[in-house]
Amino acid sequence: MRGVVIPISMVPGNSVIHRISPLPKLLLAGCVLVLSFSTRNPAILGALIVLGMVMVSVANIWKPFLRVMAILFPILLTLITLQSIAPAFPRPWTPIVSMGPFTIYQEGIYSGVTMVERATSMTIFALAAIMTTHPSDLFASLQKIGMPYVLNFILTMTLQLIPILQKEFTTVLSAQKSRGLKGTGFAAVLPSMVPVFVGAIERVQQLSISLESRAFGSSGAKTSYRSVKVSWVDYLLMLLTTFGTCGLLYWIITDPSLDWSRTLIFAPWLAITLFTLATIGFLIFVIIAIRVVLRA
Amino acid sequence: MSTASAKPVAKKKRSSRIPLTYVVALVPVAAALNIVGGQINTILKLPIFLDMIGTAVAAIVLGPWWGALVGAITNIVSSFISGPIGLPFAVVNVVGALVWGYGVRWGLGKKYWSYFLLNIIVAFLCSVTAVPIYVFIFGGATGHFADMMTAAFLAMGQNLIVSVFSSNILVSLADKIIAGFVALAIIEALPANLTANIQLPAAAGGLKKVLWIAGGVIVGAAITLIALAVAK
Repeated sequence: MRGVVIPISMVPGNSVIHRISPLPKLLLAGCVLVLSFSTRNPAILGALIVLGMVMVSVANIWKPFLRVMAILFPILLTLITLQSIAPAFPRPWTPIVSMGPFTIYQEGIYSGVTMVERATSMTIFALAAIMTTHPSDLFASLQKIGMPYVLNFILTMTLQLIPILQKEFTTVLSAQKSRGLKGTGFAAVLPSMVPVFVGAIERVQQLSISLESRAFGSSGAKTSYRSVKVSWVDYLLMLLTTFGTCGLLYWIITDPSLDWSRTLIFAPWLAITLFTLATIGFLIFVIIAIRVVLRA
Repeated sequence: MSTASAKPVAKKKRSSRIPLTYVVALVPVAAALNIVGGQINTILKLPIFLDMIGTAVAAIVLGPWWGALVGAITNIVSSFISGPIGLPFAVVNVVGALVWGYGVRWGLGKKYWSYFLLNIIVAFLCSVTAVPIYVFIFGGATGHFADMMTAAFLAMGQNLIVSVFSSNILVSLADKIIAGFVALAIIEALPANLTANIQLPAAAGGLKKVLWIAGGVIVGAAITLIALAVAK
C-alpha cells in the first residue's frame, strides 16, 4: 500500500517555520480555516493562498507539498464542474451558455472558483503546519495548553498504529492472494478487516497490561519524551495572528462591498474554458473510478 | 453474610465494566482501523467509505460516547494524513457512533432484522448530517465516487441539495450496512469479557449468523451496484 496513500508527514528541515513552536502554526491554520469560511471574496482568498505559498517557500517544502497538491487539486476541480451547473447560491442565476442538459451559470463559476480557493487556502496552511511539525511536538504542545493526557495518548497511539495496521492488511491480502483468493475489491477487503482487528486486539491486551504496570491512571504530573519550549516570539506570533484574524473578520463582516458575487462578471470564453478544464479533470476521475470498480 | 440478606449487585454501565487502560488502548485501534479502511477504500476506489467500522465496534462494545470519540479522532487524525477535507465530516462519524451505540442499548441489536434496520437508520441520519456539509462547505463535491451520481441527478433536473442527498444516501446505505455487519463479525471475534453483556444477533450462533452477516454485506454491495447503474 505504500506510495499510494497521500504522503503527508513531517519534512525534516531547519527553516524559520520549522523552528516556530507548533502552537502558533496550529493557531494560524485554524485562523485561516475561519477566514476561508467567512468570505467568498476571491481577492482575499487569493491573498491567503499567496501567503500560504510564501510560508511553503520559506519552509522549503515545495517538492513534498506539490506531490500532495497534485493528488488533491484534480479532486478540487470537481467543485467548479458541479457548481457551474448547480450553484450553491440564491436565485436568480445568470446563464452563460447551454451544453446539452447542462447550463453554465455566472454565479456557478464564481461559486466554484471561490470554493476551490477556499479549499486550497485552508489545505496549504494545514499542510505547511503538518509538514514542518513533529507530531509528538504537536501533542506535547497541546498538553501544555491543557489537553488531557489520556486524549493526547490516544491521538499519538492512533498515529503510531496506522502503519502497523497497513502492514497487517497487506500481509492478510497477500496471504489471500497466495491461496488463490481475490486480492482486490469487496471480496478481498471486507473479510480481511476481521483478522486485522482481532490481531490488533491482542496488542491492545498487552498494551493495557503495560499501561497498568506503569500506573497510567494515577494522578500527578505527566512527563513527555519530547519537550517543547514556547518562546516570546511564539507568543508574539500568536498575538499577531489573533489580532490580524479579528481585524480581517471585522472588515469582512462590516464591508458589504466585499461580496463580488453579482459584480464580478466572467467573460463567456473564460467561463467555458474553466468549465471545460474542470470537466475534463472530473471525467478522467470518473473513468478511472468506473474502470477500477468494474475490475473489482 | 447469608445469601438471602445479600444486596443485589447493581448493574453497571457497559463502559465502566471495562478497565480504563483497556478502553484507552482499544480506542486508538478502532480509530486506526477506520483510517486504514478509508485509505484502502481510496486506493481501491470502492464506491463506499469504509471509515466507520471501528466506530461501530467501539460504539457497540464500549458505549456511544467512546464511539463518538473514535469517530472524532478518526477524522482529526486523518486530516493530518490526507488533508483537511475530511475534518468537517467528523460530525457525521460522531452521529453514526451515537446512533449505533444508543440503538444497540435500546434493543435494536437484539434481532437480525432490527440490527439491519439500525444500520439503515444510521445511514439515513449520517446522510442528513453530511449533506449540509457537502453543499454549504464543499459545494456538493469532495472528489468521491458519489460525485458522478450527483452530476447524474443534476442532469435529471434535481437541485443541488436533492442531488447530493440522493447520491449520498445510496452510498451511505451500502457503506453503513457493510460497516455494521463487518463490525458484528469483529465483535464476535473479540474476547468474551468485552462482549459478555452486549445484545446482538450473535446469540443464536453457528452458520446462521454467518449467513446473515454475509447477507447483509451482499445487500450492501447490491445497493452499491444499483447506485452504479443509476450513475450510468
